[in-house]
Amino acid sequence: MHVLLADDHIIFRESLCALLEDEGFDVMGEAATGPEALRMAEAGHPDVAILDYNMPELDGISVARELQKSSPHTQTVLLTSEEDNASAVEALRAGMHGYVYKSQTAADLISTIREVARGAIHFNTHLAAGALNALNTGASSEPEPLTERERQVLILIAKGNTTRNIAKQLGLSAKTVESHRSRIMQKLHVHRAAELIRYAIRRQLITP
Amino acid sequence: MQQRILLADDHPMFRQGLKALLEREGFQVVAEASDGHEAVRLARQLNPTIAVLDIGMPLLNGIDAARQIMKQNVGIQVVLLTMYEEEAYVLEALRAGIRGYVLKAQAANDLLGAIREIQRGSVYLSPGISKTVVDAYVGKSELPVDPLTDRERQVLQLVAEGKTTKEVAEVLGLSAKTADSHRTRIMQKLEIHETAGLVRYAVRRGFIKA
Repeated sequence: MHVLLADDHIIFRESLCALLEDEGFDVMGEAATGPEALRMAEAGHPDVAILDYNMPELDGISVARELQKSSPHTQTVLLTSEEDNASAVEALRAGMHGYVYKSQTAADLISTIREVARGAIHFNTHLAAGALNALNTGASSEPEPLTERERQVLILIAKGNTTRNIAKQLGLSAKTVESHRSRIMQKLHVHRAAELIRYAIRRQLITP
Repeated sequence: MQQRILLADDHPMFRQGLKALLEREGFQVVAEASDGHEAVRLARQLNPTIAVLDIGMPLLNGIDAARQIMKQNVGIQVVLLTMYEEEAYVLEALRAGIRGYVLKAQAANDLLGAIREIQRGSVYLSPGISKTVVDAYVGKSELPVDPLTDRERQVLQLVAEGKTTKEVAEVLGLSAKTADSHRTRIMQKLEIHETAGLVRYAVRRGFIKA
């Protein structure tokens, strides 16, 4: 089976290449950017293209979207880290049949490649139900966005303010602040206060 | 003598691929870890001659893991393999006595070169790490003293990851009372009075990713 690998971390790509070759795959090309991946895939028509989400110039999902037209027999698999938050629904809409986290094992990646080559769709299990359901109903499976008020509360929490302080600053009751806080944690699927602060830093709502 | 390598990275597929690459080059990979504590434990149990560590790992980051490993495994060579190229990390690594610092943006050859160089007693930094970093280190006047002890840094990382005092105690094998007094001491030293501040400090220092 001929596969294309695209990731901008060279050593990561070389490592995956070694793994895949050991498993009997033929790595017909290695790309470091989105446009390079597109060129190689359009020239070589691999059976499967493994695309890192976070690449310079063009991300993995955009590459996949293009390949639907320019290399329709090439199946595409998205490789992403949790921090990148690549949209599973967007990947599905771009015709991708595989979605794998970098925190999964080599065996997971290999079985996904094999299944995708056979025509199946294999998304990481905890995404699968949500993403497919969202496509089905047309609803968004993405986390519900925060309201403006919730954003204000989040920023104040991340800056280290007490509930009382926040209540005072925003002219709310402490009870209301607490319930905003719970709602925020629910929406962001976060269970620990520390994660709220990291979310705020990641989204550049505050500087660290 | 064949080199025995310990690999630590929180992305299993990368670690497994890197193992395949290193074995092709004649190295023996004797252990794989996905967090810093596991790396320290396996180093103690299996006596590797070389440790290749990612920096950004949960529970204990690569630089702090390296500090412990270098104390317990005398003579071991440590290389950090990371995507972080910022000056702060490089200086922290050099301050800890780590002699190899390799960027993931580089090719495997760079890592192999680093392993060779540090065995010869040199310091190896990937191309792409600015010269000013090296100058700052050599000048030494730029390096501020770390306010925290090793143990305090370990506690801080766990607190910033959202662990309760009880969980911190469990991970580090301390009593809850000791963990709590470390936490208090950290807040005193840093003049930070709430968790949010500790998380932000940890992100700034590179103990955790945002």
